[in-house]
Amino acid sequence: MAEVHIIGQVVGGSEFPNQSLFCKWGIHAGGAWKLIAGTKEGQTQVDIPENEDFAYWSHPIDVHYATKGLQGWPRIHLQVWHQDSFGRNELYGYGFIHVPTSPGCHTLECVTWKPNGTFQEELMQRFVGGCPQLKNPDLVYSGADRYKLHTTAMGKVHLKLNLVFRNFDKYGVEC
Amino acid sequence: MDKLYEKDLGGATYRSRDPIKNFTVKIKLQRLSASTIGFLGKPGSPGDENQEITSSVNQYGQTILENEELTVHWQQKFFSQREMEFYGFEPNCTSVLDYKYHAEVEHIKVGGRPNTRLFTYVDKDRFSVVEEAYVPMTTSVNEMPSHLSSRVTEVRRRKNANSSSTLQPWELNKGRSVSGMKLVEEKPTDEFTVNHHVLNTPVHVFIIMADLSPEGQLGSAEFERRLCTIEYDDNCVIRVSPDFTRSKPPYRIEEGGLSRDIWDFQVEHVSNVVSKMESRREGKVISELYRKHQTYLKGLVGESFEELPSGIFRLLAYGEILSAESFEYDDLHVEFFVDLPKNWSCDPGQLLSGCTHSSRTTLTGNTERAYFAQPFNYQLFFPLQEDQDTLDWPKIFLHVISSDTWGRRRTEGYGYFSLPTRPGCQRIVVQCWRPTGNEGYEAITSELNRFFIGGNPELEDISYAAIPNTFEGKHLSKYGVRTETGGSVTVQVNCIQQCKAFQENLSTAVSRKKLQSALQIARGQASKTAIHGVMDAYQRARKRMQLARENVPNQIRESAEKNAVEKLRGLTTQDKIKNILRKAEDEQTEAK
Repeated sequence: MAEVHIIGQVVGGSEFPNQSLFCKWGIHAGGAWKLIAGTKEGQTQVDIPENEDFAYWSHPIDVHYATKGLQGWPRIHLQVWHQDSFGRNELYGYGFIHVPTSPGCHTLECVTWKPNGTFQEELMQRFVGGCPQLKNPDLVYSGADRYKLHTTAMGKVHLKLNLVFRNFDKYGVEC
Repeated sequence: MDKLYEKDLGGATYRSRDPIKNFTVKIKLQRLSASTIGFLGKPGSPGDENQEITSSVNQYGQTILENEELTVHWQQKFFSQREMEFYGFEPNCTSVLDYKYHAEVEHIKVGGRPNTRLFTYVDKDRFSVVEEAYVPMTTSVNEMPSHLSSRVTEVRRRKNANSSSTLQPWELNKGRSVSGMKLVEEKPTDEFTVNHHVLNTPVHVFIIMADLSPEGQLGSAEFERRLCTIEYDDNCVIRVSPDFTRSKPPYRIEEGGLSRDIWDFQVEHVSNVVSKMESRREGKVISELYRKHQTYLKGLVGESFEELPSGIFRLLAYGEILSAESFEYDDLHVEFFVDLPKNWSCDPGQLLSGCTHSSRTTLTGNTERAYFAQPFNYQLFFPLQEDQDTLDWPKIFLHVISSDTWGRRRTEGYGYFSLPTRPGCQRIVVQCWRPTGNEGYEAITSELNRFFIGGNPELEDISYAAIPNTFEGKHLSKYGVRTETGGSVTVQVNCIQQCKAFQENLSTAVSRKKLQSALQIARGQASKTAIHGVMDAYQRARKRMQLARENVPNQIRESAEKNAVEKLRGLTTQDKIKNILRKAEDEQTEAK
């Protein structure tokens, strides 16, 4: 049995077309992995930066996994949402990133995208807001079937993760 | 004398899990002959005579005029002369505590005081609060406490354990709340800010004081000096300032009346020490707890870990295609696949190729970027064989394509990268290019086609981007192919390597080296059998020799050995061995 501690932060989001953002995140791991402590899902507050292009959330991540195998290494999936002045929430992007496989401190940038609608929908979106969402959010972390999607590049989410590994070397694993 | 050593009045911090009521301190206070002894004559009134008889000389050659020792427990109250007078007079008492002290003082008056100069302030005392009041930090006469300092001392004040919020229960849920918890206080009261300040671990203070008044004038407030402050907070942290004296020279104060007496004091820690048996038992309990926790974890997950048969190297690559940037057209997508070199294998069910969604680019800075965040993960195996000469590493080929609403499809670029040979997280930027067709008329038409109706020359075999699969020869020449630079694709790859051979030498060597050593081990397997034969022969020969030696009488053997050693000096190793062999044979024949 080997163990992984993931300790860190969802620092913030940048380069999104509008600020006033919040983020939902989750950690997903394969069947051989067992969550021992910590919460693997969360949602940040809405951050409204005054005059910069960076919304800071500093949302804590602290989970402890134990595993029997290497398959299904933990991965983080994100959804960035925008809250407008009327309190309406609008999807701004899906993101995905693998948790690094080397111990230590990692600064990660997770790129996000959102599905496109038709021309009419996009015109409506411009004035009323709202956009199509994925019917099956699993698509974010499965590589197959993606080719059917047509998307727009959105901003980046910044993460800072500190990883502590245990016992991997005992089983001849180099990571 | 004072300048012989640096005065160290710094405090020290200790941590103890044991209850604080077991904490005991011994204070030793001594009055020494005054520093001004030379011209003021012997201090003290004629009434001191009997004390001088009992006085002795300390290690610095100074006469000890007065000596007091006091052992105090945590929060044990000792009254000073002044307090005796204060609490002894009943009309001074205002609170319950005052009356309690009054009773105690009355009791002491009958039984006699256990202390003379040393006394203590406990946590609840009203005098100890005065001690914590603002102390000027500089020599300036006009120094005033800043707003911050006055507020912080207020926060530091320790009575907040039992103070509760003044909010009524029905008010709690009024603000925006998450599961009944109020997150933001809209109108914070003073008490609220004090309670919710960061520095709010309640601290209990215990102060050991001394009344250093001149002889016969005990009880004046101006000569009361603080000897030692002990603070204890709820996190089991004990702060002692100044620190326990231990082997250091005693602390020194110069104080008291006209003659400026010198006072030495020592602080000693005299709490009962835990016996060895007990501490061992405690340690056992803790280790037992950890073991229980470990077994619990193992029960939860299972102790085993997936293992590989020896001689197999496993490479796991978890990665994502992050972005593509600076390509000519919009709406990009990337097709990619893994090329496994000879001898590598993978699960048959595993998809080795993939395709991202198409992404419209956005302009950030000066570059057009398309974001994919397309995950891929591969599990590849490689047998460590003996006849392995070259080591090819798997490559991933990329093909960037743009498509637009009219269904026009254009190749934007080809590129490839090898999976990292180092385990861990790596970000790779792949620069891409695309073929433009042959020179002359063809090139022009293909570019026109590309612009108007889409489509352009493509590679027949994508592996041409690296070393073509069909390539056989000494020089790889791509001369003659005309290309145009595309943009770049950013990929992040996390690699994990697993091999049984890594398990055996747990050094921190670079893994490529490890892999090499693993290969060498595999290669070594073949030659091992040959070595075994040689070793066996050697062992047999050695055994025979030993047998022969045992038959030789002791005396002969010793002398022979001596001779051999003398002769050996200055000979080469080969000669040495020959000598020994010859000697042994000689001895054998002699013995027979």
